[in-house]
Amino acid sequence: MGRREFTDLLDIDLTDKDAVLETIMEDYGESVVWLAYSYLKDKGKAEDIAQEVFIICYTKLDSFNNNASLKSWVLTITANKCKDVLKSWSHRNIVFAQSLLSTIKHQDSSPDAQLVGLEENKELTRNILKLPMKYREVIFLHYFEDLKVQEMSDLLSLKENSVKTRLRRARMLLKEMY
Amino acid sequence: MDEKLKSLRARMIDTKAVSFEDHHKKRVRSRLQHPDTPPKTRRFTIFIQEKFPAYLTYIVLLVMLTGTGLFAASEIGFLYTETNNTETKMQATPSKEELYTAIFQSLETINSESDREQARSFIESYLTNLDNWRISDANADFTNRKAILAQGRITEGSFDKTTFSLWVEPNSGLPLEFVIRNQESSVLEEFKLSNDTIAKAYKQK
Repeated sequence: MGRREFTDLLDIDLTDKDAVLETIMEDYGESVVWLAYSYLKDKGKAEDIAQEVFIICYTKLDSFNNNASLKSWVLTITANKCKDVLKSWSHRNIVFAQSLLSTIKHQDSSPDAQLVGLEENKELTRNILKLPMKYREVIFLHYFEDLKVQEMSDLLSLKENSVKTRLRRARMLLKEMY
Repeated sequence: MDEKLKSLRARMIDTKAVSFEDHHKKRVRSRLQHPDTPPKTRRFTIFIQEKFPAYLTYIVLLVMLTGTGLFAASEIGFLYTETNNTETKMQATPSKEELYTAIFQSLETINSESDREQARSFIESYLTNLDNWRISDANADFTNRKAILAQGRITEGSFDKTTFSLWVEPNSGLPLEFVIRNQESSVLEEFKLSNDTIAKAYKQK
């Protein structure tokens, strides 16, 4: 099933919250869960965050500006939610404890342990996940979500030049990894 | 690299690292329909898997903090109060009243009547007035044995400015020796309980 663009949603009655929910889950479910995964690098947490995001979207649909992009709105909520989780003490604590446990058990706790598919795809995913968060998010939004620099600038509350700089540096870092 | 990035979505999805399936959507609907019920987003094992590291960290931190606290307390001296108190009780300097009573009671264990009467006379003469003497050393050495040294001043009559020293066996209260000295530290009177008498007193006790 191909992704529908934002314009398709113009036909949807935004007052019908259930219909909007179904549509955004169908159209943006994958984007949301992958964006969450790109931030958190944890499958379980990414899925939880995705569910949380759709619940927030449902409950706060009234605050959505009809002139804005619904996709950008959903992705902004996702990004903010993920950043909140990353900043939370409990998350840092869990990450610290898991790294300790993995050290003790001599196990690889990196996300690539869960990856399947072609080796070059796994390598690319692994390398992107290794990038610092500020570079990871722009690469993901630009190449995975096909967002333009201006959309990314709005979504991340950054100047367009900053987004461009980050994109350039992210590409450079990725090249260095090969 | 650019080519790879252009098809990033397809490439990343190929890894199946994460997905948003129908059961996820079902959970969202379920949580919206029953907002008061706790979310069943994870199975118990996953919950434990995620929470256990955090709890482990809390426990480790708690143990470290407790350990540090106990160490600090022991260094400062807050700890082992009870033990110290017990030891102190055992080694503590008895009060003058306690010592006086202990000495008096011990007199009954002295077999030799002359020794007993001499000691009694000394005790009654010089220790009855508790203001005239003090315990100067609770851990005094008396011929390689531990003793309590009591010292005082005799102010009555011709004994003015005369001092006395009395060594008392701490456990039994036996007056091991007493010495009366004048101002020039010359011995005026001396009494020493014989080892034989001490041994017999111990036996009797």
